[in-house]
Amino acid sequence: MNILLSPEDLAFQAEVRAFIATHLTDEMRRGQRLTTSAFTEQAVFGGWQRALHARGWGAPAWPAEHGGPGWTPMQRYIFEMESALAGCPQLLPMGLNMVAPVIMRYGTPAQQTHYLPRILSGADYWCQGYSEPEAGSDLARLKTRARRDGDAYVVSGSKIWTSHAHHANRMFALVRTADTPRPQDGISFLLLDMASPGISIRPITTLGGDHEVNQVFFDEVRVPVSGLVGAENKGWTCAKYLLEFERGGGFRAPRLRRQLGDLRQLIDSAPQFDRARHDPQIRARLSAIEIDIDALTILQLRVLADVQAGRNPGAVSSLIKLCVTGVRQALTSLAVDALGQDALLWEPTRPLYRLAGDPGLPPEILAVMPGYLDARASSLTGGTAEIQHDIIARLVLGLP
Amino acid sequence: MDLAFSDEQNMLADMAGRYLAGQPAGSWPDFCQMGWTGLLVPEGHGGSGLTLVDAGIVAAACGAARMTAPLLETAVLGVRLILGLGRPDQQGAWLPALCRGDLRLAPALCEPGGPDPLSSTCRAARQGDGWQISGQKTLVAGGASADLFLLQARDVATGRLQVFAVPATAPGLTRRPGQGVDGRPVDRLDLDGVPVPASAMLDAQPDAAAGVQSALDAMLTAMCFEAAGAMEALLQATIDYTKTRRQFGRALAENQVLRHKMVQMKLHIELARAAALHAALADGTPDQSRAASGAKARMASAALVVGETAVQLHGGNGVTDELSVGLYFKRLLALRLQFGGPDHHLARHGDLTAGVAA
Repeated sequence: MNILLSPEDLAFQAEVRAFIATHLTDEMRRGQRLTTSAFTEQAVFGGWQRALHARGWGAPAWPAEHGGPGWTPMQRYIFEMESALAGCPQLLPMGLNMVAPVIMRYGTPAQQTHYLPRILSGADYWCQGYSEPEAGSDLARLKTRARRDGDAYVVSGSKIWTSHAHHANRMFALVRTADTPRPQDGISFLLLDMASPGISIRPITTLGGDHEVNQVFFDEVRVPVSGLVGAENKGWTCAKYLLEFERGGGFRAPRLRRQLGDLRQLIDSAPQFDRARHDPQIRARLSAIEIDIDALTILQLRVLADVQAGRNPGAVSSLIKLCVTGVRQALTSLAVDALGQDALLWEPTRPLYRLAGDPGLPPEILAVMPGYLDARASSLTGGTAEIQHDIIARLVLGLP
Repeated sequence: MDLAFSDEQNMLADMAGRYLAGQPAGSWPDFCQMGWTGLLVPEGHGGSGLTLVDAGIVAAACGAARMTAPLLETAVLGVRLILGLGRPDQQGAWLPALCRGDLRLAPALCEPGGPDPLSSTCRAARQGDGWQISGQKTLVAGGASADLFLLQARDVATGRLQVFAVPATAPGLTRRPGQGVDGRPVDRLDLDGVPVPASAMLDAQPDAAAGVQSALDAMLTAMCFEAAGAMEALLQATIDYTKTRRQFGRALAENQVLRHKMVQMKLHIELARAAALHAALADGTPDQSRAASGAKARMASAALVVGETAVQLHGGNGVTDELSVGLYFKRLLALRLQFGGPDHHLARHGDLTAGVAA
């Protein structure tokens, strides 16, 4: 067991740090810090994505044949860790990490040639059409229908909680193409153009005051059959593939560590935290969070060791995701408690990094309550905490 | 960087598990022969020269088996006190004998006043060429078979903490046998002007505080590994019980609430074990103390949740002394509180963090 980086990895780490020092601006860092919603706005990440793409680092997880940098798992980890610790903007996962792997695995050469470069460059902006008003955790019971009509599918129905649908020019969606005894067997994976006639979008405001998610309505939307990925009625397989592709990746502990560092800095310096700064209970909660971040880092490094050695990390990855959610919610909750009464003063302007004039309190303080409220969604997105518990009970603990 | 266990470490875990499965109480001669007493002793002194991670692997196996002999007290706390504070002649006299089992020693650092050995109220006064030591010690494990007690006391003249090797037969030393909540023999020691020669002080350093802290850090970390092993065994026992026990026409394990409680137990165990590994990897680095307190705090909170939940899920049988569940629970309570519980160590982690920031 060895905790030290090799000379090659140390050199790579230095290279990443030098790149960040050159290309990460204060404005980008500030914009990311003041992002309380799950995903970052293009105004914050756009410049950073362009710089990464110019360097050939736009898609760390992609294989080299499709434009990835050909990094080892350890190099991917180092890159994600350094980016997170430096407070770099987070790129959107919908194109780069969700639809792209499916297109690589199940798409036709024509689809790969057309879509992948546009995802890599950021020319296409993707959203994910999965959840529906009647199908959240029970996603297989989705009802948005795609009826075959000549060389097109005609799509009717509705998707909800669609992040950034109001910005996106493309959507990948799970749609029903057949009514089957097992609902999963009648689902297809379809790529849509968001400019198609018949698509309308209703914004949804979250508890944190952000417009990030939407409801999307499809009224007889014609989608060319060339938008079908994989075989008809085999879309559920594509969706499940994503979970396998993600396994072992996604090192979230460094991002939490950065957020804890930002909170510590705020508590140590802002006058609004004068009372909390020396409160033993606040300090104990800070320590407890840091201890869990250290523990999560160890767990993720052990997963990395398995991935590097070609071993399947197993179901511990689902445990890690659940722990990460817990820490994120504990962190945002602590920030509110430490701020106390001042956390009740609400600033409605969004995004917060565009706040002009004198808002009375610094934006970092105004972001505390929205940050806590938006973090309530962490235990719901990508599978609710309760579903995760069910999965872990079956797959990790072997319960009947 | 590779955080997978090495082949040797996997073999160590495997061998320890199989030995203790056949003989949960262990035997001291076996421990010596397998190299467990000398895990952290350098090879030059007859030991295996292994790391705190390796000691943790053995500790976890001991926790899973509820091995009750004071192995960690000797092999981790005692050895690290000697290595950190002992003069070369003391190391040469004690370490090889300890490895062979010819010498039995018992650290006696806990005092009734509080969990922090560095706040000792035991007094050491110079008397001629030697010292007289007075005060009280508590929760001393291995006292019945000890040849030597390693204990700390404060030099009344300088205020500095020092560590002394006090023979079990020393005049003025009274051992009061007792029992811990976990059923293990733990003694109180009353020291009433116990005379020790100057040579009995472990004085490789002018002030023993840092050495005591460092040895304690290693012990805290080893205890966290023991607890992780115990918690994992307790979870497995709970899974087995709930799959077997049937009420209302189905196994307890088919009830979602209970399944989720067992998942919560697993989360606590994984985080506590990872915190212990983090602390073991920090051994010998500037982050050692902070990581050790972090691990102890995390283990303490996990131990309570895991222990209480296991008892609860075993129903009526869980609150008797008839099942191993209760025995694991009580051992976890001891590990949780000895040398400081969660509040103490969270505060210490916070103080050390502030010190780092400053």
